[in-house]
Order: sequence, then C-alpha cells, then structure tokens
Amino acid sequence: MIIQIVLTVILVYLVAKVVSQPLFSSLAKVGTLVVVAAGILFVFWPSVTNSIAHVMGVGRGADLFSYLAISVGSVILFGFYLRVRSLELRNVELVRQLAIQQFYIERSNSGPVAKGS
Amino acid sequence: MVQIELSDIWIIIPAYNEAAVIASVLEPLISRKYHVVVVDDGSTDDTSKISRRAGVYVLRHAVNVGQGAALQTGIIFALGEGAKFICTYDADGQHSPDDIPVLAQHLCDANADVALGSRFLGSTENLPLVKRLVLKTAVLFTGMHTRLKLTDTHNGLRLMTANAARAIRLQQPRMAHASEILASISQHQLAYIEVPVRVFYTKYSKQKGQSVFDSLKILFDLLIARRLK
Repeated sequence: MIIQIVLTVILVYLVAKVVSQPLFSSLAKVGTLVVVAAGILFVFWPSVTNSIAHVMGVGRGADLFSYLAISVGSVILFGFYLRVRSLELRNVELVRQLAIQQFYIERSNSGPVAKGS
Repeated sequence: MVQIELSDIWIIIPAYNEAAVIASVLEPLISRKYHVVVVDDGSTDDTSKISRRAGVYVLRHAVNVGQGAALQTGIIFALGEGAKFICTYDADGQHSPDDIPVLAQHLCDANADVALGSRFLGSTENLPLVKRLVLKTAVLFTGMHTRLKLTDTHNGLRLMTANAARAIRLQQPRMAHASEILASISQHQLAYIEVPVRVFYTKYSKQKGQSVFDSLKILFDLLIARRLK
C-alpha cells in the first residue's frame, strides 16, 4: 500500500509540473496525462497489466511494462539527442559569427597594420 | 595549367591549448610569407596571445566547439578576405611546412580541386602501432562511406581551391570533419589527388592526438549524421 501511495504522489507531481509549464505543447501535456492515468491504474490494479499483456501476446504484465518503458525511453532519448545536436550547431554558428565580428572590430580599432591584435 | 603563387595560399590552423608549440609552428610559415589564420578554439592558455604576437590573423572562439567548427570558421574568414587557395594545417607541429609547395605543385599538375596529404604514401616518424591500426581502419571505413580510393583519410594537411573550399561546408563541429571533407569531395565530384607528405609524431603530438575511444565517437557522429540527412 505504501508503494502505491508513493508512486501515485510521484505521478501526480509529474503531471502537475508538466501541465503547469507553458513550455510544453498541448500534445505533450495530453500525452503525459494519459501515461500518468495509465500508471495510476496499473499501480492500483496490477492485474490489468497481465490481462493487456496476454492480449498482446506477452507472458506477464511486468514484461510488457519493461518493453514499453525501454521503447518509449529510447525514443525520448533519441529526441533529446537530436535537440542537443541542433542546439550545438546553433551554438557553433553563434561562436563563429562572434569570432569573425570580433576580429573586424578589433582590426578597425587598431588600424590596418596589425593582423590579429 | 594554373600556377599557384605561394602567397595566394591561406593556411588555416585550428588550435586548442597549443601555447607550448604554436610559436614554433607559426614561425616557418610566416617566414615563407603565407597568410596564416589561427582559429583559437576557446583555449584557456596563451595560444591567442602568442599567435597575435607572431603577427598572424587570430580568430578566437569564445568557447571550445571543436576542431571541425574551428576549421570552418577559418575557411569562411579566409574566403571573405579573398583567399584563392586554402590549406588546412594542424597546430601540434606534426606537419612539415616544406610539404605545402609540394601539395601546390601536385594540385597544379593534376589540375585538381583538392590535394590531400598522405603519410602512408610519404613517411611518418614514431607512428604508434595502435594509431596506425586505427588510421588503417578509418581508411577502410571511409572508403566504403565515400567510395574514394585513398591511403590516408585523416591527415590534417590539405590544399584546396577557393571553389572547393566553398563547396565543402563542414557541419561536423568535432573530429568527424576529416571524413566529412572526403564525403563532400565525393558528393560534389571534386577532382582530388593524394600527395606524399611527412608526419612527425612527437611526445607532445601523441598526447594531443585522438584516442581509440575518440575514433568510436567520430564513427557515431558520422553514422548519426548519415541517418539525419
């Protein structure tokens, strides 16, 4: 019973955080709500996962849950990687433009003789 | 046949914490009247200061973003300054400045767009066995990836025309740029030639060089970049 309460509190906290953040899209908020609702259902009625697992051809509910967690986790991780990669490329462009502009500003301040000062 | 005036060559040197050797790398290049651009990739030492004192062009990245990004910054700058030929050159003292005219001569003779230095056609000193194996594996992989027939795919010494430099726009900010340059040569069907050059492995350059783990990271970057295209 204690673990059910702890998990429920964590899930409710998660959904409250996501829903209250303007940064997340409506789709992300609805998706989180669905996942959390399913989570609470499974926490209190774990036998439901067994029934769903049998329908999907998996032996146990716990196995089904593991497969889903790994699959969804991988997709989310790859999404994060792409976002980090995109940010990295934007960062590079900013750093580059700054370096080149800084060079010309310093050159115009110091006159045409010094190349790098 | 186009003749290359050595003073038309702009040498791009990406540098990260190379204060210990940068002066000795720059000195022979400056004395040969090349245009030299050091791109300080966010060094925390005196790389910029020493390079400025040497009288070369110095561009400074505010933070470290990678050798590929630094090369591209230098190439964009040099093209903006009217460079006719771009030479990429490592900052750790591995290359011989005497090889640059050799690259230029071969580029002219072959009427090529890009001349790529090859340590395996030329010579190496103190090349560690593990490094040799990694480089040979890279040659195999890059050959499959780009369909270019090369003996050395990760040599930092290259000479290219301004048009070739414009076509090769590096997107890989870190170390995968060497393979990316070759992929661009293949993609844009640029005429290329391999030229024997010398590479010197010093204790310093071995410390600064890429590890086997870095090679795996490069492979990962390339595979991901390929999937994202």
